[in-house]
Amino acid sequence: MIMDFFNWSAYLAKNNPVAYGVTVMLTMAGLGVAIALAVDGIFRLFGIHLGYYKKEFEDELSRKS
Amino acid sequence: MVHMPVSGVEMAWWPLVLIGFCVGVIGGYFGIGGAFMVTPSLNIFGFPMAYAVGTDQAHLAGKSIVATFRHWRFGHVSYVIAFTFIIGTFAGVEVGAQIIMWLTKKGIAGPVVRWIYIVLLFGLAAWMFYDYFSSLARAKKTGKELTDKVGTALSDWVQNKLNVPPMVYCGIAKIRVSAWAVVFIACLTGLVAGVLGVGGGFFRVPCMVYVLGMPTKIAVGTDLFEIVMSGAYGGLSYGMKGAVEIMGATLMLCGAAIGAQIGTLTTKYVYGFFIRLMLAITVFLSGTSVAIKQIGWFYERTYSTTVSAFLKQAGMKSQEITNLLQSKDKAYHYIVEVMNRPDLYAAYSTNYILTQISQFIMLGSAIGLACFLMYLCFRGMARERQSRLMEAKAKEVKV
Repeated sequence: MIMDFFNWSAYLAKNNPVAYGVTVMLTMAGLGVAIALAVDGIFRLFGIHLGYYKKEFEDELSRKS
Repeated sequence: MVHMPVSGVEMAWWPLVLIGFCVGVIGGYFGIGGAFMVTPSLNIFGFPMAYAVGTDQAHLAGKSIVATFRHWRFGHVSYVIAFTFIIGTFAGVEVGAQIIMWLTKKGIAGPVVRWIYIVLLFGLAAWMFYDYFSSLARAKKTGKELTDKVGTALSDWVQNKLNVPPMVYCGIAKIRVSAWAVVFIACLTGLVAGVLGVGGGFFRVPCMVYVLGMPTKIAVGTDLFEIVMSGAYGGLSYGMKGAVEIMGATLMLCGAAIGAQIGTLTTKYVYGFFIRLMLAITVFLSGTSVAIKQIGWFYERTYSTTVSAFLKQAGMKSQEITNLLQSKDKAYHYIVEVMNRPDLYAAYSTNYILTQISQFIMLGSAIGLACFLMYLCFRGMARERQSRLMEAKAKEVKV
């Protein structure tokens, strides 16, 4: 099924470049969003803390002001 | 081996995943696209050059979404700066593209671009090394820990003296700057990116830090958000020209998605100043690679005109000549056996070796840096886990 998609894309690249450009952009954006959400879910599932860290630049900013 | 349906080449899948992974780690950590590392690395593994740039641009959009999402969760993305930057970047890239077309017509695009690259990369690396080591010396004197330095004399001037309306306020970085200053910097970095034919993240992040006075990690996250936009545009543009190998881009994205998680997570465990030091090293290695390529050009110009003229006479087109000169065996056949010019082949051979060295420096530094960043990430995670366990134990003892 994935190979069918790639072959269809190759057909588009030769016959309809504009549609191929849009397909490339949408595929990459779609995959990016899907992977980002999936990985976030995996992190939550394994209980890996992502929002806990020290913003050292805030200390620096307060020192500056 | 997999068959790439658009370009028609057969190649192994793992180099694409490996390159994607390494650049994902580096990009997520520095907030750069890493095109200057990807293109030569792809070429080493036999990916056709004609598709290398477009495929890299396409995968960049997806990879940057993954990395930006993670930075957004950390609170590293300033949308107001990013959107203001995008306006200037697109304008700058367009002007840069026009300049490069003019240089191409004059036939001097290659060497001019490389000289700009060399001056820019070494200049930037020298400044960043100076900034790091002078701050380190100051920190040693005062006994304070070196974490992140916010602002320079230039950024103080931009923030306090250059009050030309409209002003933009970046809540995350807590800075107020003139929108014109942001657009100007974006135009400048876009211009450089357009002339060099790269995304320009390696130049944009230091500009955000040193000129606008943004904290390093926010500069990294904000630049990645901007790369999402420019990568999507690049993917569309190159796709419309048929210069994207979608299967290759997907394989690279698979590796980059994992790499980007490690790269962005690493920013959690290191100080902003350390990110700057690592970026300086990367920029220096890139400069070295381009300088070696430029030395190769001095050899290239001794044979390229004569060989190209001969092959054109034999009925070959420019693209065929370029492809032929990428194969050492074919070049030997034509230059030595057909043209009977071993002197030209010696120059070709030297240039070929220097190009290979230049490409291997980029590939080696990409893999080396990715490994080191992975080590930092896993060490940070282990330490965090250990401290959480100790906290839990201490609570238990209290109860």
